[in-house]
Amino acid sequence: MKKLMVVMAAMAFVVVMAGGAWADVTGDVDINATVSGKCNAITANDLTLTIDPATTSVVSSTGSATTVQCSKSKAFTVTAASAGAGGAEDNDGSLAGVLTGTGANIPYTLAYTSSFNGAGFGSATPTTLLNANAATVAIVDANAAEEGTYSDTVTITVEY
Amino acid sequence: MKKNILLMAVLAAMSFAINPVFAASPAGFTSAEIKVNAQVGVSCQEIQQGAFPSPLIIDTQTPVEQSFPPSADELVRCTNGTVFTVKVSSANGSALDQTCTSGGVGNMVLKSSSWPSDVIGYTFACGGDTDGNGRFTGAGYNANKALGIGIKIAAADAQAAIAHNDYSDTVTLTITY
Repeated sequence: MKKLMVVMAAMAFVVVMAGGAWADVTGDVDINATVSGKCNAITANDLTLTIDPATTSVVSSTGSATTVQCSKSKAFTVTAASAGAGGAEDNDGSLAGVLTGTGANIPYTLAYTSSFNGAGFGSATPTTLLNANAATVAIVDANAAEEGTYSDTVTITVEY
Repeated sequence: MKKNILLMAVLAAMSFAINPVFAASPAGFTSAEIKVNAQVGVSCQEIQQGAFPSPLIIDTQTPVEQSFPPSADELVRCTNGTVFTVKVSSANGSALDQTCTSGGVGNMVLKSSSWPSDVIGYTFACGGDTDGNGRFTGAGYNANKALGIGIKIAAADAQAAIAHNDYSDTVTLTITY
């Protein structure tokens, strides 16, 4: 019987000591995070213009859209440059490009997204930088075009 | 109070100093090249059908070749720079798909509808060819290309013609490119 009492007393002491420790010790942990603004590689797709010189309407390109995924809600700016036009950077969303090839150069216009807020990564819907019909040739330029094949290389850059 | 003003001034100066740094130097970029390819096709289109005065007044007594310009030239539009030829056929003559040149195509015949055996030979020319060999160059769809059609009747054929007022022929022009 004495032995049992001693054990119970010891247990009670321990419990009291432990209770005192929970009540007296507190602490805050600061967690700091930085989400950097960045973009994945641009998913680029070539565009094709099939020009009928007899056309009476603007010629629009076909192909697939060019897209990119960037940090959510961060503002980004986009520039475009046409090698055929000399490579100068444009940032107003309407690039005056030049197709070079078999015959005389053919001017065209490339419409692109000049600024946007990122939608995030993963399953977020990518932002469209260029639509499939982004490149257009005016009627007067299509009518004057010479037979043959032409091309231009456009550099699209997203800055952040 | 003096301290507060000083602090605000320092803060303002710092903000002016920091802003230009952000504007001039983006933190990073991603870039890609896109190829824009174009194909321009070849085509031709008749813009105006050629016509001659009706009737042509043929002088049977003149000793020289008679030339008859059209009342309306044949006008076409073709892809800029495209070389094309014009083939000529006569409904009454034996000319069939002859290359039309500024020198003219023979074996063309005007026939009397009331006296089919009465015919007058003539030459059909395309004076607008680029090199005299029947080759034309398209001027694009912004500009008409005139073929420069014309008819010539040799003095001998005119002098031998029998008087009728119903001679005719139908000329078919075919553009080849």
